[in-house]
Amino acid sequence: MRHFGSESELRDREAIALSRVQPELFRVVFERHYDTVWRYLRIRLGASSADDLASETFMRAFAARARYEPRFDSALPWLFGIAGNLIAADRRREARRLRAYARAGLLEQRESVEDDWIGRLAARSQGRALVVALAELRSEDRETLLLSAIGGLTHPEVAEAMGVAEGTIGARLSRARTKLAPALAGLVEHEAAAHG
Amino acid sequence: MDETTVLAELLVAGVELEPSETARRRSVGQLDALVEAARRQGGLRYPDRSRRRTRVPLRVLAAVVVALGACTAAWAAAGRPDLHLFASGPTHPTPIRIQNDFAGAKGSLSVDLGSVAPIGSFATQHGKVTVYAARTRAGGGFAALYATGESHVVARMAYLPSPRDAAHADRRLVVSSNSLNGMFDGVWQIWGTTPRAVARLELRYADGTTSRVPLHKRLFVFLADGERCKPGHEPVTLSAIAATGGIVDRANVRISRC
Repeated sequence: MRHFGSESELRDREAIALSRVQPELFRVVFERHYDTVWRYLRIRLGASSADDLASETFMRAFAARARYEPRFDSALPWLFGIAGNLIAADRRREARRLRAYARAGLLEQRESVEDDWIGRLAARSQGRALVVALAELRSEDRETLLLSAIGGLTHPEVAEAMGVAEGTIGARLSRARTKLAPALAGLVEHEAAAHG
Repeated sequence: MDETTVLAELLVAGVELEPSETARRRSVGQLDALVEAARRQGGLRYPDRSRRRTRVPLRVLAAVVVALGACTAAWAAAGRPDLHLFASGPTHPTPIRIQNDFAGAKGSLSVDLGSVAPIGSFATQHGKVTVYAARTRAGGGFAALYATGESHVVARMAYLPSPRDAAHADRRLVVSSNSLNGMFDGVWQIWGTTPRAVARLELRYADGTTSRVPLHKRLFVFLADGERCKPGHEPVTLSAIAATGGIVDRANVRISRC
């Protein structure tokens, strides 16, 4: 007979609280959420950046575990918040790239950004209109939309990740959806036609 | 589909969405180095470099005081945290070998043998798994024993309900879920407590089908695997239904990866 301890049964908030005195319990949070955080960063920034920033996210989370104030069972909103701060450093570069795609020939630049979401979208037929629409979003609206779309967070969780009120998230998503709707509709129609 | 869903599909199309083993190992190694450093320095004394440290002790103390106050109030309002979920007596149906297996559990798994009770049996890819539960002697938690034809596994399942849930446990469904990977790969479970006056529990899946969830007094544990892990077939809601047929409470269910 095997006797299992309780680690895999711990909720995130319990594991993080206990990790203040038993640091190894933070591994529970890592094992549970590493793939999801990596996936989010992978889509936003590409594979090599995701490798580095996912690791950095958990190291920062570990260092800040004493200040963790759980509002949800899952620590994901908190982790996405940390990842978002790391992405912010890359945001200006991302915005510049978006503007460049919106202005200029896309194919010539595809190779260098082939593995990030901007490049992938831009490479699609009709994708440029969507990239332009995304570029024209306010950065906080874009971040909100991507946390919701890629991260799969609920409105309260996005609010937690971004450190703003829940009502703000609803307004931002509504604004972003309104601006993206024509470009998305065009892209979906085009692809539907292309696939018969 | 709304714009967010369409955008999500566009963004993930054709992308490798699993980190490489190399990246994962490197991340684990970096985290383990921090963990080891923290352990050597005594847990909390690990320096939090990103904040002014003079404020941390006050905030931690304040949080502890508030949390203790909330827990005390909640437990006082809800009675004992284990809610007297288990019965004992001469008609106890638990086989003696199960009692013996529970008796062998030490430390945090040490249980009150008089409280051992069968919760339900489930068909899984590992054969039939019968779940027994018992109060732990310390900590207000309970332990579960998963019995198959040839082996038994005992695992602690933490507080039930947790101090945070205790205040509303009489009125609301308290639901947890987790994978049993490591014990029974590919099997997941949901477990928790029901409000008072609940006659049955019904688990509804994304494909519209339902399962009856075995209920022991106010405790439930449910195991499943295989098809129920696939997108479109996963569990979505758990409904607590009264004898009159009315729904007492309903909770969303999210299972972890199988």
